[in-house]
Amino acid sequence: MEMSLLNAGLAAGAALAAIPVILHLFMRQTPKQVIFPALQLIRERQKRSRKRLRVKNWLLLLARMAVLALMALALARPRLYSETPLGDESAPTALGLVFDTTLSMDYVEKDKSRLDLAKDRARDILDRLPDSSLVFVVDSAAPGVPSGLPPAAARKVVDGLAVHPVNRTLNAAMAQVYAGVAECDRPVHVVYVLTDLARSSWAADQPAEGLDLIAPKAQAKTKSAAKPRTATFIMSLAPPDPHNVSIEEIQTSASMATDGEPLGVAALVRSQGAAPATRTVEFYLDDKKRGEQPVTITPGGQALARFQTPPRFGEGGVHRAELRLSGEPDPYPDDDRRYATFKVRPALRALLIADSTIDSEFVAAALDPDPTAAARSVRVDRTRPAQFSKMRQDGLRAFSAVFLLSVAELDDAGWALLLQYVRDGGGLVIALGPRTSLDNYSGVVPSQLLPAKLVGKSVAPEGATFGKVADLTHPLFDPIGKDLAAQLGLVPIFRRWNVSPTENAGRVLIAYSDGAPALLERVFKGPRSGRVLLWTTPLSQLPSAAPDPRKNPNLWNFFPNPSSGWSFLVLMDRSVSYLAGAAAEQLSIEAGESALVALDPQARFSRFLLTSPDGKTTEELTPSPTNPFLEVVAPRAIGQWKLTGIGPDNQTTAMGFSVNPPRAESRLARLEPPDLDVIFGKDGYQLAQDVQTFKDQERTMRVGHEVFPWLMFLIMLVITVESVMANTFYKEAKAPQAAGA
Amino acid sequence: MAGTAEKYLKPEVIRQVARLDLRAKFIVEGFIAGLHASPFQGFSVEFSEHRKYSSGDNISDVDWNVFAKTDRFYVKKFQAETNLTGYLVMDLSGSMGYTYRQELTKFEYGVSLAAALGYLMIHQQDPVGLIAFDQKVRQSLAPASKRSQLGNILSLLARLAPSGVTDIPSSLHQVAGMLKHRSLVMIFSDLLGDRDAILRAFHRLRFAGHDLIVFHILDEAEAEFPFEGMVRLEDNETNETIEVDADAIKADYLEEVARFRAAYKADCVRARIDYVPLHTGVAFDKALMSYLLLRQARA
Repeated sequence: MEMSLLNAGLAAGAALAAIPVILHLFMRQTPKQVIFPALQLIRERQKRSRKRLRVKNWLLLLARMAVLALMALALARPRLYSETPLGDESAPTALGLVFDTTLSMDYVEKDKSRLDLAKDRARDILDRLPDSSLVFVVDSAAPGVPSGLPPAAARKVVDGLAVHPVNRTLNAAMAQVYAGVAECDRPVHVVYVLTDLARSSWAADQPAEGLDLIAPKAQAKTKSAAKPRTATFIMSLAPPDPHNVSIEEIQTSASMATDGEPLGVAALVRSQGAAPATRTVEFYLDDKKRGEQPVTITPGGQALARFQTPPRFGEGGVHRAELRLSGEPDPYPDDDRRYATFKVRPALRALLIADSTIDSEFVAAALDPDPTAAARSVRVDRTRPAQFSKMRQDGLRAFSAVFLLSVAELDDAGWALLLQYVRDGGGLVIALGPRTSLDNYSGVVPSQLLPAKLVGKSVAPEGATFGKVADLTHPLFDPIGKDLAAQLGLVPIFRRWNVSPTENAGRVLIAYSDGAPALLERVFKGPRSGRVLLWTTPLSQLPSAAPDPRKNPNLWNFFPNPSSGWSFLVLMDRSVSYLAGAAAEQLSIEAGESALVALDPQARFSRFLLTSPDGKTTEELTPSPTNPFLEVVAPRAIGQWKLTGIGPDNQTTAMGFSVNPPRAESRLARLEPPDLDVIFGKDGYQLAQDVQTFKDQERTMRVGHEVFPWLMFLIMLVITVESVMANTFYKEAKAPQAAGA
Repeated sequence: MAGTAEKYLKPEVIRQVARLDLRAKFIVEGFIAGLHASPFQGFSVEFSEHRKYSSGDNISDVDWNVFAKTDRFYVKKFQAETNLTGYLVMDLSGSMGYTYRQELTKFEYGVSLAAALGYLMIHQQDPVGLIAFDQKVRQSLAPASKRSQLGNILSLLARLAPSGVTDIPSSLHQVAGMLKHRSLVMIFSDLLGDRDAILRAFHRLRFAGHDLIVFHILDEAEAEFPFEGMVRLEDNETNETIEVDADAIKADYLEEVARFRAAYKADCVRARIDYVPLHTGVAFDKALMSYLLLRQARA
């Protein structure tokens, strides 16, 4: 705690405290001469009370001196500081202005967005700044240490600020501003953070970056040890009572629509605020309105609005879906629209190879439950191993996935056919079964194909099930990995093949409950990656009459059985999409993520033109010859991007993807002071919720705490004590008792 | 004290009477007049005093007038019953000649009081003597009860003047040696001296069988300390001075005076000595009443 005096000259008045002493020493009253025979009584009294009298006199003298000294001190207006004061506003300042430019700063209240308010506050601060100051303006969306600008130039930068869908955390932005301010030679260092304190803008569990740059130790190490401390003010621009209705998520029933099949599109609408909200969700397909649905959402609740695309709305190519909220005006419009991009393609084809019909029956039923239907997402063909071996490679390419289901043996031609198919980018699912031949599957060609070497059949431990899903973000499982793992845990396993994963090639995707591999994958890199999935237990269930399934050598699991849940159906369906390469595409993303567009290897695109949603900017991209996908890294603008592939003969193919605002921005959850304590340290910042608080805090930081009122209180206290002491010491003596009474 | 005679009980009034015999007369008459409204109504020099009736007293001695006014039985005691030799012992120390702002010095107050008591005793046919001392006994007058004795006493009292230092204890020891018969010794002094020695002298007189009444006379200023601000106090006996802040020590001083008087009083009570604290602002009747009550209780 340090102290300074606003009117230091007046503090000299403290010397007036000497007046009582001077009066006592030099201006003593000339005593009156009085004859007094009873001197003996006074002397006797003095013997006993001389010390007490002296103490009393000293106490009174001290009290009177204290009153004068305190009055002089009060006039000097002392102020206390918890740390080095900032000094008044006329001092040249290194000023850091950190602007939160996340989407939530678009929240409008009283015709002003949060960012507009932030700009107003910043202009106020800049207006008061001396011209010799340097200003470091940090936009949370822009990386790099800013250079110091004169106030006038900084004002122009502030005027040009806008919100950005893609942003970094403000923790990172603090490093930029601290780096600039800490190195500045101006005597006063202040940083203002203008933010709505949205939780999505901060990493609440991590300290702000760059705190070490302004820590006293770090400053001492710099060339001038007397560097000023940096004060950090956080100006909260959060609306006091936020209310927002948003489309938090757009959900499609599949990542890819199949020709002739409708695609389900749903809007998850959430309301934040104290009152229930009624809105209309409008559904647009390729910019044409296809439907609308009113929704009523309870305060803090959510509702789902479902739509369907027409069965046939344009075959092939890329299509754009858009959901819009309409109805009452919303203070935060950025999350009132969401977009999705999807492809429409012909039904995928899957070839099932099995020794007997029953071995392929369950997979066929899962992939193509109604072969008579006009619209089918997967068309299944079945064949026997012997017939398969006679197929031609060209014929096999028509299939997105091939299933080898409990096949006992496959001849070399068949294995070679499969190997070539996979190397060309095909997808193969192999399920080992009771009759699978160890020798046949251990041959030279199968060894090149399989992700694991077969060891032998075994009885699973009692109570065994599927166990851990190794990677929940694997495209085969994402985004339902957790639910899927729970379902797999319900599937009883009685027998299995023990395998040893191929070194550097085999990867376990699902294990049994005892850790043994259940599903393995092997990827063959190429222009189009081929994949092999190996199940070590059959994807079929043979009929069994034995009461104890463990004693039936033909009963290996209840995986396909509906009593074991939905994991079989989902995994079979997703396997075909995954092996066909559709699952890897990322056409509907959130701002900050990268879009991944699958390229047709036949098209041989030489370049791409990427056009932003507003059509104002176009960028040319060049594809990688080895990558079957085109990756667009973190596109910034919200909306539907167009991607035009240009082939060898300047033939163009229309593609595209959608970018949505981050879901977390819609929640408008605020940081609380404990969170800020974690970020800046308990005493590392001043938080102001409104302009008045901010001004008070700034004044306190600049000129400290005014001690005047406390001094006046102290003076009154000392005067009171002095009066009490004087009255006590010189109390009116009681009238002496009448003599003789 | 509205009556003409009673005004002479005030020190500031009696000072205007130059002749000591008249002073004594006026004081006693004023005192007697004051008694008319009291249980002592009817008190006169013809009898010495009243006392409460007790079993065995002659019923004819009951003063029915007093009974009628007070509803209490008082018996008249006549001089024959209370014939007691009295000595008026005057302190001649310089300090007794002091007053700060009163009409009478301590000595003059003491002399007036002694004269009044002498007057009262002579009129009761009690033999009265006078002794005056400073460092030793300077003047003495043998006790006698005849009318001319009053003139002698008053004449001697008028001649006395306080001066110089005093030695109360040794003087009292000397007085004790002088008294041969059991007497009533009335001491008029400010008792400023070695208290223990003075008390020892009192005890000696008391143990010799004498009754003792100590009229402890202080000046009004000594009793009430009316000074303000810084004062340099000087002892007129020793010329010693002391500088004090009167406001600061007033309370302490008064406490000390009370302690001083209380100490004498406590010792006197233990030794069955009548201690009468007075100061020069106190009316004489209080002193005389004290005497009378004490005598009454002693009878």
